[in-house]
Amino acid sequence: MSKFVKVATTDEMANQLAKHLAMDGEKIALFKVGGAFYALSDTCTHRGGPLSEGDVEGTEVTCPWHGAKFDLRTGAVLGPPAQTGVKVYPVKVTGRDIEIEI
Amino acid sequence: MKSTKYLLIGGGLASSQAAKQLRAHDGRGAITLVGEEPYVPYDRPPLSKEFLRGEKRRDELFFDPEQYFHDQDIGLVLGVAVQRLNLDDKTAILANGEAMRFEKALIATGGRPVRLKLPGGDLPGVHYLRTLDDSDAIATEAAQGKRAVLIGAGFIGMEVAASLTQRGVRVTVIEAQPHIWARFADATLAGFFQDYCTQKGVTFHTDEIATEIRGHDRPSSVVTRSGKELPCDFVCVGVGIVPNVELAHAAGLKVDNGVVVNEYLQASDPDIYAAGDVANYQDPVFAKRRRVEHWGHAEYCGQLAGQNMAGANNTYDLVTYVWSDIFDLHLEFAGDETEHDQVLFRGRFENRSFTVLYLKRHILTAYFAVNASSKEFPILQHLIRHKRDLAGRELQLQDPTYALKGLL
Repeated sequence: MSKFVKVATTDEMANQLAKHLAMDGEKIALFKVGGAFYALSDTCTHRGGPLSEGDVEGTEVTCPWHGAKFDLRTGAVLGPPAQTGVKVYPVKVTGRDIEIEI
Repeated sequence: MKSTKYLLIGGGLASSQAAKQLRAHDGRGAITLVGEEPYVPYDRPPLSKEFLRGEKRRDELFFDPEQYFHDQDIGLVLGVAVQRLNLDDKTAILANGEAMRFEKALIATGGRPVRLKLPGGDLPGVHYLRTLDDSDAIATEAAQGKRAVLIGAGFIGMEVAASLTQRGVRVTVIEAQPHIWARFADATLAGFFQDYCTQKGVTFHTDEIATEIRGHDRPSSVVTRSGKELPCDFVCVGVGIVPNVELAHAAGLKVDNGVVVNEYLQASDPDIYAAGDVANYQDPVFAKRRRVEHWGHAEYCGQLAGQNMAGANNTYDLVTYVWSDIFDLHLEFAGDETEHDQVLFRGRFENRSFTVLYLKRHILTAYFAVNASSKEFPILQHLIRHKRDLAGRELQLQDPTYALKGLL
């Protein structure tokens, strides 16, 4: 059963745009763009690079290892060499708590 | 006679990628992939790593299930080699005797391991690693407490050394050069890895050559040039590959350390393309001909060839890269290390997180990163690609607290 779990606070994310989360064996990347938060798998489907360390432009993240691009909103591939998208996790903000559904 | 619009020769990564691009850009043209191995295209890097360690299942290696090829209408001819190419009438003769007419063909035949010629070299229990079957055979030998001698300390050799050690095998490595990874690492960097692997239990004999493998029906020891006799239960050899150019050569295509291709990956006959390990291509970043044996290059080449065979005119434009995993160290390497007159260290060995920078005339040509922040890779690749003059920036390059973005 999936449930929303608190992973960070908005204060914590005030000065950073991305954070790596290690959850029960799942690696998740949390991004902040404008005022919105997005959570997706932190393992690139190409060769396993950490998306949380990638450059973000708009809602597009570029994997730092080999340049694959993903849509932060949907996890869809926007550029090679990856060919399959990454899993996205619903995010909700309750007060100062950032929660994701896992 | 059978016919196909696109003939993909070789059943590896490059062919697999080409097939996908062809189908994406030409929805109807007939595609046929002919592979010598009996399997649909699979991922080779895990063969020396996760698969060999038993952490990845066999079915996880295949890029796509067989059903995918049916769904995409991509013909598969597996377990069959292409024996001959006739360029005059665009016909391929397969090892099963069939002839197949084509309009455009991709040669992605890869390479094969260099075989050692020494007494005992053909004994059962002397392994090479290239295919899934090879990895299966080594995995079968890799029981706790067994002793392995590995001949050759390149990327594959060191990955196998680490994986076997992690499975409880006692590993001894023989390397002809004074240190491991002699093709791309300097003595300091190689020394770091050698020390690290030694701590993990690997024994090294460098500056040594295996002269004989002793044993009756299986290896029992390996004898070296200096007269050492190293007892073992099995042997793995990793001393490089040779490109499989025979088909192209016999067809009359230009061959020179690989199938010679232009920036569109076209061979000397413009309807024939080559990709991956077998291609000798013009590298635009380093302005010279190269033949590269890395996964990322094969993937990229396969895609590019597929696009161009379907009518595009895209040119090669990749800063070549490779990765490796040795125990818990993750390596990312990019560029061309053969071109350098200066080596800078960014970070410290002791922290097990550093990047080695190779420069030539103050221009970055390659980097070798060990457990380093991957945030820096795109910047380093940019510096390589755009040949940024880094004269006077040496101190900043060596200071891991300095943000490299300032050099862009």
